[in-house]
Amino acid sequence: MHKILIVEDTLAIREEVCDILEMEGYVVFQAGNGRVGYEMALKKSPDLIISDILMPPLNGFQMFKKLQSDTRTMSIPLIFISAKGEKEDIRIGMNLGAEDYLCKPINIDDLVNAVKNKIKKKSIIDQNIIDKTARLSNLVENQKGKIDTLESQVIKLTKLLKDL
Amino acid sequence: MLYTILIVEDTLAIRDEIFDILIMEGYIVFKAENGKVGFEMALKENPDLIISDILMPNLSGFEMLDKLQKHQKTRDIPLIFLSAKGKKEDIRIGMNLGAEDYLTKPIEINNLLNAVENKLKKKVLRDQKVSDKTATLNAILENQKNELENYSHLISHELKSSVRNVSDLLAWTKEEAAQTNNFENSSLMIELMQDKIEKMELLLVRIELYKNITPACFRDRLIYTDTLVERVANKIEKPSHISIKIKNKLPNLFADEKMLEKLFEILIQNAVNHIDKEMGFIEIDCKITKKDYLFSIKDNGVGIHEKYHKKIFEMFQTVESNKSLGIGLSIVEKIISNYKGKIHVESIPQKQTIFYFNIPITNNYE
Repeated sequence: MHKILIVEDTLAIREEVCDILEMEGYVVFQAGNGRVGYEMALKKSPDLIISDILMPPLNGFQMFKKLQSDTRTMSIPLIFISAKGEKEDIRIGMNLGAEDYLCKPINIDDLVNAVKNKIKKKSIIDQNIIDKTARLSNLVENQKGKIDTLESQVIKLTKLLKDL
Repeated sequence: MLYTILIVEDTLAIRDEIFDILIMEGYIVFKAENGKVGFEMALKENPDLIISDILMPNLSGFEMLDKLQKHQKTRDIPLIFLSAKGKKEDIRIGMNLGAEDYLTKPIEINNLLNAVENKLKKKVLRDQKVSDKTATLNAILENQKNELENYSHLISHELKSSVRNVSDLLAWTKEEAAQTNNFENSSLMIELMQDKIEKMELLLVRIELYKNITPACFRDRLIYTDTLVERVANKIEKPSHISIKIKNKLPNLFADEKMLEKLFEILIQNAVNHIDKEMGFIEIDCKITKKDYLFSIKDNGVGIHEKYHKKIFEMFQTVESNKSLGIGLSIVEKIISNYKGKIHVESIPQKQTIFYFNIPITNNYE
């Protein structure tokens, strides 16, 4: 079950996004501003954060910078949603290191698509870790077999010598 | 760390421009003129990032991304689209396909570099996460590798040469018996053989000991090192011209008694074995610093040449001497490293040798 955190000061939009994502089967947390959002990110360690930009008292950009400089939250992907929808605005958000930038009013398909893409990327990474772990475990097992063989050879050899 | 980036773009001028910008920034850059070549190159070069145009003959950027995402080997390579189609809707289409970013032409250098840096930074974070999660396994693997090498060495070198020795001695004895029909010299040969075999047995005991030193078998409790060292000194077989002395009273500390005993036993026995003087002195001392107990074992023996100072702690490495099995100090080092301590040696050849080892002071009073 993937967890998503929404940081948005306008209650109506926050709940709309929340409903859409819950319908898609995600576990959703809500925060009304950047400060609460940052604290919640620490506490819940979500798989993805969706954040508005203009919010008092800590705006989306400021929150994102805080998240990125904290080792506990730096690898959580973030998508901005904003009414500021010019190409230059998108660039500013992306240049900060956001994973995507959606413009308000929210297009449901775009939102669901963007979320799906980012969650998929995360699953691929997790899968990579699982694969690598399995590969290494295999190697460890293999080597252990070799060690056991050598060990028993040493013992056999020494016994042989004793019986000379 | 050098990062590799693949550019997929059909317009030569743009391809070269991006190439130059990225090369100037110190990246390793590959070029492909369409999606088909781009996909093949991604498979071959496994780049850290791909920057791709969209409209290209022979597999467009969209088609290539689709192919990349379906392939196990390329699915996690981040991709940035770069396109003249710069409307908000166009950007959405590209992002919805799973691109990591979407830049519009004409290229703005700062935006390009910023996007590249961001995506590479993310990739480093991800790779770090993977290596963090697999660190324990890697450590086990590394340990096993050492063990494996030790066993291989043991079989291929130590035991083999001993076996060869014994069988040579055996052959000579036989030969002699056949030729002269008397066994005058045979008893000496047989003694030599016995010697060899005893040495191998001892080696095996030590190897088992070394293997059994695992964190799980350390049971730390309060140890009076003074009494412990005295006990060890009395137990050790030594000629009467060698005296063992504790300089200042040794501290009480938390450690595993058996392990500590073994450690002093090996170090003191080594010292005894290497004394060639008419009067032999071995002196054990300990200085207490803020962080460590710094123990020292000094002897006035043959000394160790500087070129061996590191080597002697490796398995089966001995200084030209047949008294040593080449495993004692490996055991000592393994015990000390369990306490996160270190051991080193200082020596003046023909005059003296001092082994120093430290055990960090802990507040472990469990």
